[in-house]
Amino acid sequence: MSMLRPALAGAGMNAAAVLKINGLSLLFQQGEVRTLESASDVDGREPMAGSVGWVNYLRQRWPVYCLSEQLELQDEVPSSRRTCALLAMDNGYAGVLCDDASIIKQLAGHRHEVPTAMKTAVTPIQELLASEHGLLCVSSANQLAAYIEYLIHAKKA
Amino acid sequence: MSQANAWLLNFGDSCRAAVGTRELLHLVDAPETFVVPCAPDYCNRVVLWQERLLPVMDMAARLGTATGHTPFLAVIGYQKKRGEYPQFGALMLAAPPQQLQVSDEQACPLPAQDSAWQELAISCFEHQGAPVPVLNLNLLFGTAPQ
Repeated sequence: MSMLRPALAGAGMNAAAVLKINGLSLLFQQGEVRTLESASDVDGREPMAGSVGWVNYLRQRWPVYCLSEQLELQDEVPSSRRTCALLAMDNGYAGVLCDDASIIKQLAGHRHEVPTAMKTAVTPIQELLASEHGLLCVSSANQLAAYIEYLIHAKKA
Repeated sequence: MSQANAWLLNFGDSCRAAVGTRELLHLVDAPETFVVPCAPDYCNRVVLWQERLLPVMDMAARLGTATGHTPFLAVIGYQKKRGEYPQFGALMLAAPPQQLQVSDEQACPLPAQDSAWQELAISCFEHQGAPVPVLNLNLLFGTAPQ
């Protein structure tokens, strides 16, 4: 539990993107956030199951998801979700609505494992980082996409 | 007759349990905690303590009783195995803990009406006419949620 590791030591994440969703700060490698769009650019017509609309990128459209602070899927988009971050996954892209997105060029702080008592089998949170920016929940585009897929299947069942 | 010191912990809503004297390390008043998503409702916050992030356990929620005002955190330490480095966690408390002297004669069965205690407690003793389970900290903090 709580194994301390300096954020810069071999972490491979010197520059990172932070997506704010209410009080939650989700941290991704900067390269995983391909573009930032205004939430008003999201096309809400005929959304895919679990999503709230589509965003265009590279002449294709990609699903956009709205998540709560607890990372539950939301059908209704809160007015605070003003930005759509397009995440690059192994097999395409997906948009995630957030309140705000920012880049941290040099991460400083200590990484901690998610405590055993909190670590559910499906969590997309890899680690926790206590930094000057507050508590950052470290994830990856592929893990978040797999988690969203899990939520969609669980909702259907 | 062997005497053992214990801390009586009040989780609110008449939900109580005990830990050994040496297991309670620190009492934190009105701490700042941080939400971690995708964690169980009874343990979805962490607190920063001495450069460690500790899981914060809401025992009332874990036992299915109402969570009241819990302004204190008890930082506890335990060992997975004897001789290993200690592990740490935090328990939400409604009131400061109370120190007790417990003897073997006070041993009693776990509360039968609450089956959750069967796996969360290692033993039980009677105090002021009521059973007080002794927390199994290793299981409580060292087991991943189902």
